[in-house]
Amino acid sequence: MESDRTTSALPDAGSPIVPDDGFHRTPTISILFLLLDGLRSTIPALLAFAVVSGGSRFAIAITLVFLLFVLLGSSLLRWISFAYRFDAEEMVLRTGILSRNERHVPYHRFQNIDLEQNPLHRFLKVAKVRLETASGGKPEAVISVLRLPDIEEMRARVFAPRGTKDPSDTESTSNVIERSRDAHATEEQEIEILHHGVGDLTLLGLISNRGLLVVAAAFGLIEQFVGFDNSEFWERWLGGAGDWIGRIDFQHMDYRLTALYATLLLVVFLAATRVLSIAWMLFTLWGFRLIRRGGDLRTAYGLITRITATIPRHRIQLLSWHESVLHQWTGTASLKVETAGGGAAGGDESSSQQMPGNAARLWLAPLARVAGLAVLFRQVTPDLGPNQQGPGEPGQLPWSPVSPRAWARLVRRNSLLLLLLSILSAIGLELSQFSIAYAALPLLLLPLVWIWSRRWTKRSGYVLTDRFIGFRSGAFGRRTSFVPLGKIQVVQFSQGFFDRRAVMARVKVDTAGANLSSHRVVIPYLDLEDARRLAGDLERHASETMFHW
Amino acid sequence: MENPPLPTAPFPELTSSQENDDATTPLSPGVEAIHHHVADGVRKKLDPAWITCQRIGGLFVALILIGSLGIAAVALGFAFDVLPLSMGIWSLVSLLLLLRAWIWPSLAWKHAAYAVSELGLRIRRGVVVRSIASVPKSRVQHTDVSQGPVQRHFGIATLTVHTAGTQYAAVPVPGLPRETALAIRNFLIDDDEDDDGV
Repeated sequence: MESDRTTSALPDAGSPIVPDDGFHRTPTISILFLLLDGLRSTIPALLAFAVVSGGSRFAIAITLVFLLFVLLGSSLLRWISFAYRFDAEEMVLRTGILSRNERHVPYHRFQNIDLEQNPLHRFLKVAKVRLETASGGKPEAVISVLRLPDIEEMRARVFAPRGTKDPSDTESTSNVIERSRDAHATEEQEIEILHHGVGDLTLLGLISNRGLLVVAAAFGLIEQFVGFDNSEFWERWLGGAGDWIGRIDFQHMDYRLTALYATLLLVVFLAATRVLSIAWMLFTLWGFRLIRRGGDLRTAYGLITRITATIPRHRIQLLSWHESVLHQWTGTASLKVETAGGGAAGGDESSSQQMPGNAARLWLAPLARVAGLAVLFRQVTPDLGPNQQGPGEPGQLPWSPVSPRAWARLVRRNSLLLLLLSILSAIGLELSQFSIAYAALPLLLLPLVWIWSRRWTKRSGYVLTDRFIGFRSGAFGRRTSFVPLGKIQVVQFSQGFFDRRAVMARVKVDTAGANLSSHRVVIPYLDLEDARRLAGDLERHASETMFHW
Repeated sequence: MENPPLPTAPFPELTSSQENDDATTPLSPGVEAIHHHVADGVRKKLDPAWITCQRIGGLFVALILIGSLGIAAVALGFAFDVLPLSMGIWSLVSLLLLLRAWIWPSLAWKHAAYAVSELGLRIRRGVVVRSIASVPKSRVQHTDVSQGPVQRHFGIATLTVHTAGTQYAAVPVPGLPRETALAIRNFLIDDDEDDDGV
């Protein structure tokens, strides 16, 4: 397996299981990575076992050795059984030893290719590869690991211009590579669209709420492994702070001092979460780059584990960006896209942990300047972004608002929710020894509900052009999503009970690989006539365009 | 929007049940159904036999539920010495279940409809939240026509249209006469355009 991989059209001679019909195995070093993957997934179970077994060293050692053997065996088997081949128009993946499975995937069906490289990968110049088609759910193949030249070859094939395939040379596949490489070299230079330095990432850390997640995760870990009642641990680590807090006389403190301490604590907490946030962003998005190469977009990021994701531009199903209040203050927005591949992976925490780049939505720009958004759009999605005829800034598109009567409904709904909260807390307080008067506290938020509903109604709306449908919503921050008309799968028009009473309706657009929990084109609170017309227009537009994955 | 308005068919209102509202209005006046007689764009009701099918299926499920609840009610009644109370509750719940199994299918039928046009397929359904889903013809990935034993007896079938969508990955159209289901299927998957976008 040490042969030069670029001459990969040659079969591996002398391998009994992989016959010489052009199949390759992954490099031998794969076994190591498969083993490491296996170890990583069994370590939690092993720890749990160590705890349960009460720490009998012998039992643990025996289990460990046994486990290592099993894992080594399975890694070997997986390495031996997995083989792949590049044909002129399709990639052939072979798995299994007893029941062998050969999967043929045409190159143009691939949605995206993602790479993961931890430091060991980088040292050995290999990467874990994840191939996704639109079959939904699991990726078509996760290859652990391939050499970088092989990956380049694969990319060249998968994302080669469609013209390069030629039915006459199914035999000499290497020609195709050569040609597509030439094509890439001459016509398709890499254009760097976006690059985030330390400053950008720091700003991103300040804006985002990642720190809270880190804190939450830390709490979880402490609870799991130390326990909050483990006084010895806390004595050792927080002894000094404990003494300091112990000296404060809480009993005889007046309310001003309490407020001061509370504020101080809050400030410290906020500062700490922001610092953690910045650290998180620096680690995960270090050296973020967005590159366009021909019709493909490529993002690369990560300090320790480096992720490289490639998406063909025409595979973008939905483009979405988010402006929180902090984003707005700094004139930035974060931009994500959805492809049909790996949509279901979004909800699956374990898979996104294995491949952080592969949450259902791909980062396109964690921190885009709003001022440059129009330029970015033109680079990213010529079909989708505000088009050439139209105004450049998304804010200047001809947005239509939702029904102006929406705010009354929102006020009613949210006030009722607050009232319900009040009643529930009143019941709770009645049962405890606190004064029932506190139950009125939620009602103090009523003015906020008023303002929120007014702003939401004013700032939410949709836009339909001959290329895309867009929807934006939000009272203070705002989320905006665009779907190219050609990617609309189903148009839904619906009325719930309250819609019917208010003569309103909702229009929804379903796309492939959608993450149902994030912002999508679901336009509520439309005047009935508007909704009927919009749904009809969308239906017409969608039927007129052919859908290409 | 600068573009001239396109000839489109606005979606119908969903406020009333559609006993006699524009049941024969073509969905898309601009589009003529030339090739396919099923694609006439006329809104059609489901086969009334579907109500009977749903009732039989619903009653079957209800009876199983009532039976198992009955066992639980008797057991709890004896265990806590509240037999009259538990039997009372059980009878009430049983009655409600039976009523639902009987009434719901006709309500659902009242609000359900479908229409096939050159554009594709529209399906209307829902009693409380009423909706129309429109599947453009070009977005149909594949279709299934299925019949359960009861459906077979009544000669009706369910056409399931599969799309690449997420929420609407499978759109079922129940209560079609089998021949109609097959005709719609043939129309929807009859794709003479050279397209590999599958």
